[in-house]
Amino acid sequence: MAQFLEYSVIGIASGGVYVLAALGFVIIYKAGSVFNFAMGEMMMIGAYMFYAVGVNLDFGWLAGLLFAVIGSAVLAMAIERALLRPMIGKPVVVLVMITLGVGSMLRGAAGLIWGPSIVQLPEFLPRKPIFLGDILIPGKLAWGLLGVGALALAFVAYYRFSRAGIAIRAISSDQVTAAGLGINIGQVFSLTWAMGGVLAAAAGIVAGAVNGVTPQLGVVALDVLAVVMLAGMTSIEGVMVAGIFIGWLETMVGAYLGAAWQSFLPYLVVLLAMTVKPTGLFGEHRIERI
Amino acid sequence: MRAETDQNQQPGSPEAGAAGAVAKSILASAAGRAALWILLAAALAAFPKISSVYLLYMASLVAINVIATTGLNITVGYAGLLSIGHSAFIGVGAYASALLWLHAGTPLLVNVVAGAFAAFLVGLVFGVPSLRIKGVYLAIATLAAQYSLYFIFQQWVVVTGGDRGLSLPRTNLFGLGDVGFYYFVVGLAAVLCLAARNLFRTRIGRAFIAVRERDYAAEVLGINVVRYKLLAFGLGAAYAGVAGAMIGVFLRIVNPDQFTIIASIFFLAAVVVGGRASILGSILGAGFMTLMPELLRAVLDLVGGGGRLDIAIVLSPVRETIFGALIVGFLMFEPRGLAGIVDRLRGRSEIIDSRPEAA
Amino acid sequence: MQDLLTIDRVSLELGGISALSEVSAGVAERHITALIGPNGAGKTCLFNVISGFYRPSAGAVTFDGIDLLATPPYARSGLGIARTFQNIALFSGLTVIENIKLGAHSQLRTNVFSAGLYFGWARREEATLDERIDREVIEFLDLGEVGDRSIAGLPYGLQKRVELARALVMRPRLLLLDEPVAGMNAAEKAAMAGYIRRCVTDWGTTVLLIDHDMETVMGLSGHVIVLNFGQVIAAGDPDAVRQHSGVIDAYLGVA
Repeated sequence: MAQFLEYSVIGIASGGVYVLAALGFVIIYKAGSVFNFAMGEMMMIGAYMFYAVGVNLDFGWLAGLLFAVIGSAVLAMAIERALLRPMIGKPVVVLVMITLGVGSMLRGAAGLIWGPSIVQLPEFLPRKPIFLGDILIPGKLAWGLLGVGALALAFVAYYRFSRAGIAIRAISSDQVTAAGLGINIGQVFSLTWAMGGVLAAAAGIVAGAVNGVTPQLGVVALDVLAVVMLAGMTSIEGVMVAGIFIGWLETMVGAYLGAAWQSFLPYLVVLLAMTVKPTGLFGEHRIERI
Repeated sequence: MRAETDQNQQPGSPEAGAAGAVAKSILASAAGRAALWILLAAALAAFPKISSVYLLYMASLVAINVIATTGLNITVGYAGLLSIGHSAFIGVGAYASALLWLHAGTPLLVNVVAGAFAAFLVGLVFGVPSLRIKGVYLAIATLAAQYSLYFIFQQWVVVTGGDRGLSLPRTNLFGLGDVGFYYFVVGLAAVLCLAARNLFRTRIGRAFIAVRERDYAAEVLGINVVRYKLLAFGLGAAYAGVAGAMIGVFLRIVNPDQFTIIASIFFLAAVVVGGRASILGSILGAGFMTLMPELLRAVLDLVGGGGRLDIAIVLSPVRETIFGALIVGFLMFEPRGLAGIVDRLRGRSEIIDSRPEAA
Repeated sequence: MQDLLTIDRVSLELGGISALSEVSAGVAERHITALIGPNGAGKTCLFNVISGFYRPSAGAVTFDGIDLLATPPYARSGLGIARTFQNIALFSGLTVIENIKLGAHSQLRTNVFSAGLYFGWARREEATLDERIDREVIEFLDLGEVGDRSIAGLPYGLQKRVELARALVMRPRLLLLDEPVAGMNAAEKAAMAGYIRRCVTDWGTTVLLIDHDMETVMGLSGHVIVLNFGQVIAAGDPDAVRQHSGVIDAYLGVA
């Protein structure tokens, strides 16, 4: 039983990474209806930015963290402004292909700058393990989870209660009316991408802190995809639940059924979700006006 | 589908204009066009006589990639469906055809058909759940396909040989060895390109384009949109299967690392660079993308000569960066691709990314 | 006079709003019926229900005795229903003639294999279609010189005629026209009205049209149905409807 709980906690913690990345994903999709296939690579670049300033330049983890957060936001906004904004009006397929191309470019750039080998991020999470009764939770994991939780909650609070958040939801619901009401669509797009970038960086850093960083870190985006498909592409609250669940499920499957099944799980979830409930458990069904 | 306009949409330089005029007059007459085809066929037939082993190798590789790119273009370019798992379907075709050959000793054509069929069926597994729903779901499903099929190629060691893959014996087509293979694959590519081209002279091709542009209007015209999307996607997968079967015979080895996400992006770039919704574009794109890394390697050799640059390590990320940059660049600045540039030189125009006038 | 199309107490919810409420109407065979009403009254919504894009929450739609709601959208064309759209749903990736040929899609039989092969079966079918279109539709709608041109450069009125041509290729039994004369000048309107009238007299087509141009509508139609806020507020011949107080109020925005 203790082992089950221990696995559960680990699973929930790893789900935290998925939650952050999925939140970033959903916020971008909600506002602009763009499926950002570069999300995984944005996570990876965020982790590398942390590494670059924290280790390469040896300025310490705090500076690295700051740089990663700001750098990712700037990068994300640049991608949106320079590559996607000019293409508004083109079929969605085109926009999605552009994000795919961007992902590839980011992967390639990372490979060129830092090479293919794994690098370790500076230790910034306290090592001391936490005991919940009989269960030992590794310190990094526990603090990572706390950090992730705090960030996710802060994000959701901002989304729910700030004017910016309301603007995002307005645009998501009806772009034309929102514009008519004086909401600056362009600014909101920039904001959502910036938020997406920050969330991706955070997720990437946590993932990198646990497993090290390589240019292939973005592959975890498939798990994020499973989360988003399960929850629904437009549900902020939904992805938090789904993210934790998928993280937990993966760890359980890995522990009791083996690594092979663990790897296979996200694809199964994606296909199942698509077959049974494509809009996800919590997503909204968008009506197209003809 | 070529739409003629009366006037040049894009006035080019005087040289391009003059060349365009000459080209136009040749292409205008049926006799002129027939002559060009015969010239092309003759050139392709004579090619092995004048080329080196290396060039013959590259030409065969280009032909295989033309088949794969044409299939992807039907799915992405003509029908507007984003498929990110094309390379995985090539892999299905490669493994299916190789396994059939190794275990049943069947003739090449049978293996090729089996490869196409296998890829088509596997495609359906991912296409059916995702194409029923409007939206970007096929892209997600094919991404899942890409990784899950790679996983199967790698893990199902009993059947696929795992990471080591399958080794195939030498073939000797028409008794001509490598030259025989060249003739076979070029012929096959020509037939498949022609078949694809023919689709768009009929209601099938028209339906694909209608589905891409405005699926509700297509539905009203009697087109079962889901069925046609599946057809376009399945065709793309089938073509990929053929290419896969050919690559196995060509390289005499089939292993998982030939079928990665980078390869899928390679083919997407080929479609975008060559020209979406264009058979000529598929050919140009495949040619460009196949030859470009060779050019790149030559350049890197020049630049990194003296061992300063470890070419092997650098080549892969450089390729990834370039593939991505090509996709983004062409989508933004040359949406009609190389085929569009050719069209401009010929004084024609074609619209593929247009939006309807605001209602 | 038999009703070819019967709409029986159809109600439609869209995003929480009641777009149609218990709409009932009959469209008489071989006649022209008009559907009018202020903007947002639900006219195009009703067309979309008939086409199958929206599923009504209640009610029935019957076409020639067939339950239309039980028929999938893509199969309704095969029953003989054709439609044009408010925003001209022509395909810019196809030429004019290719767009028109799409109208016959459900009547053609070419499949993937015969299409890939082309020479033989498919080519013959295309040639027959080409010839039929030339004979019946191109001439009928005066589209002589336009054939190979791309849609993009065409003037608006011409595009509308091409869309009508596409709808007519299949010799539809029921023609749904959404704002056929919108944005046209007087001459074009008269010409379009003439084409529509000839469809009925020459081919026995039944027409249900939406438009805001009262002169054209009243001149063409024998029967007029008026919608406002998703409900039928009047139905009858043009003169009666024109004088109906409820209709006048609706258009003046008083209702």
